[in-house]
Amino acid sequence: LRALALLELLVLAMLLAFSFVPLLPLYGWQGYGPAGEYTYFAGAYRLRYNDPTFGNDKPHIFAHIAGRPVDLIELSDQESEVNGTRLWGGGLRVSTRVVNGTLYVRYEGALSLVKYVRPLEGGVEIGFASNATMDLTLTLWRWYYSSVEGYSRPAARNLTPSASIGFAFTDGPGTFTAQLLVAPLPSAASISGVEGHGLNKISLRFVSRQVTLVIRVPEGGQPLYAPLLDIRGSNYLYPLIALSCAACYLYISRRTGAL
Amino acid sequence: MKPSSLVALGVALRLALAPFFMHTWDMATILMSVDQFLRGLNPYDYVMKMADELYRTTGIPIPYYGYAYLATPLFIYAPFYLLYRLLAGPGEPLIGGHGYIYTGLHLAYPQLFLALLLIKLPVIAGDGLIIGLLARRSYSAAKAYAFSPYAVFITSIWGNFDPLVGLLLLASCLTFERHRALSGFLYGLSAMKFYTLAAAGAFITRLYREPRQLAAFSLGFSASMIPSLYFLLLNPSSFLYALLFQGTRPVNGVNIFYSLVDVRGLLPLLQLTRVISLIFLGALLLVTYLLAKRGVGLFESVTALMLTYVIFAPVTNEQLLASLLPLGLLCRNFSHRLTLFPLLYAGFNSSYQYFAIPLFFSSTSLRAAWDAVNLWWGAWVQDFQLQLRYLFGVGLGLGSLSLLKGTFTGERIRLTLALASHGGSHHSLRQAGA
Repeated sequence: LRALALLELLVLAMLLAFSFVPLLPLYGWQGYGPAGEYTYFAGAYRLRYNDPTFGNDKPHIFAHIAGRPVDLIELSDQESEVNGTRLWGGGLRVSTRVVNGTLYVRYEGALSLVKYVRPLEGGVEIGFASNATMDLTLTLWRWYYSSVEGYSRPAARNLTPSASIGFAFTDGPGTFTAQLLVAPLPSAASISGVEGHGLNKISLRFVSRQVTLVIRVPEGGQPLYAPLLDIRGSNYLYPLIALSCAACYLYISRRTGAL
Repeated sequence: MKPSSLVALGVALRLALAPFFMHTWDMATILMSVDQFLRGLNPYDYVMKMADELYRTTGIPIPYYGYAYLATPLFIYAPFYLLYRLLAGPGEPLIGGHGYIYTGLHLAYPQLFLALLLIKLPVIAGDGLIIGLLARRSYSAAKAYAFSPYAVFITSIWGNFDPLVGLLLLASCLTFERHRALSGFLYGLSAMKFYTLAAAGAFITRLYREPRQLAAFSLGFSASMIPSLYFLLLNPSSFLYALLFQGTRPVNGVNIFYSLVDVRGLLPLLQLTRVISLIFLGALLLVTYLLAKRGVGLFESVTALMLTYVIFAPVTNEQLLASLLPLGLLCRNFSHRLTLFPLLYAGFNSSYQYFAIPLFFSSTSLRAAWDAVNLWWGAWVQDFQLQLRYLFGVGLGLGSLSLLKGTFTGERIRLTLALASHGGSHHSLRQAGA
């Protein structure tokens, strides 16, 4: 029975030791299984680049507010096109790699296109570069935008092409504003949505060899956020759960006299 | 109630639910692999091709979650899938089950309901057999299995074949004393999901001093491997890849290691998984030795080794306990209440509404209701779902440890989940001597 007591001790030791792992300071791009999605953790933003079987979230950008990743905006490859071919599901050969802190996505078909996703100090940069002038249509989604460029009705409309597109979104009790900076100027820009719900799509069309989008949440002018539940430090729950359960287990074991 | 009525009721309950629920990914895997098999294609080749493609695309050495079991289920499911084809004609009932549900999933109605009913039939029939076998030894065990929410969930809602593994493991133990070769054959069949191999020590320690008996058991075991041998000879590399896949999967599932899922870097996670696997093997050997030394009976030895798997193995899916439940219900070192943990975990992992996709995707209004439920569920659980899953994993691990201890202390184990009288939910484990 001594061997069994040691085994029991080993289980409790492993339980406690591994429960502290989520507290390790792991930042940056991480290859994340099981299906091959990439995740980026750091400071004010969190990014998710979906695995190859999905066309959405390429990437999905979250802003860290009160410890919670708040949905900011999503670029969809499934609904974006280059020269009339969908970036996802259009037959292009796609590969993804992280090099020096930047995620590169290579699309190969009739032309060669590279997308990169680079976290910045105060935002996230998504860029496209190709070996020839391309007709690129990008769609940026959110369920739902409170407003885009001051428009809140979910009717389809064209926007005046501009280097900066402002949008607002609601999370919990607060409405936040964010900016989408684009270069070069899009040849066409439009918004649309779902009646009864709100705006959910920004479409931008570019004719260029290079396109850059920067998404950022300006620091000033945001509402004082008071979420129902502040989950900063929720990772401490892991050791807390482990310690409580181990203590309960030991107490019950001793009380019933087992071993 | 007569045992035959119990069987009929248990089967009827499962049949009534079967057409309307599924685990979309797993059902897509089963349907696709059986379809490939019947068309003369090699499902193992497909899995390896997908894994290669995944590596080329992402640069991450991750496995593809496809058909990664022994070949036996392909032969079990094939007649039922053929019957579906005969009744429904050509055309897939489920397309895009491994893709994005919102845009890539296409379900054909009413063919999907028929496909789900027919493909689940062998497992439902297996459950009927389990109830019948249990009723001959313990009516209360048979009743518990017939109406077990967990057993019904895995068979009819999830649609996986772990209960069939449970039937074969139970049958192997029941035939062990009288017919070694048959017992070995049934045990070999139960290894279609590999994890029952953890219980091998319980059989081997009883046989190693009797070479003829060991040979008979081994012969039966080897005979059960013939379908898999066919695929091994067909393409050794793709078949062995599927086998190795199960041994190299990163930590996941309902266990005490779930906190590691927060380690988003796959490579560190794989390294930690290797360490845990080594500890698991060591624990398995130790428990096997202790069981043999103390002369614990076969049923309880197999149960104890499967509990060791639940406690120490780096990957323990929600369905795993279904393979132990039939035998466990006859053993004093098992508690049906243990099944509560994977049942809760499934709700906070896949979400319960995920299993109701066949039902809710059948009309526009139901689909809208499903979207609303999904949003509501997500809003409530998203902030703490990982921690909740961890809590259920720890509950299952420590509950199993408590039961494993009881194997050796000779105590009757009761695992009790009590609701605190002040109204808040409070979990406590209580172990009491009989």
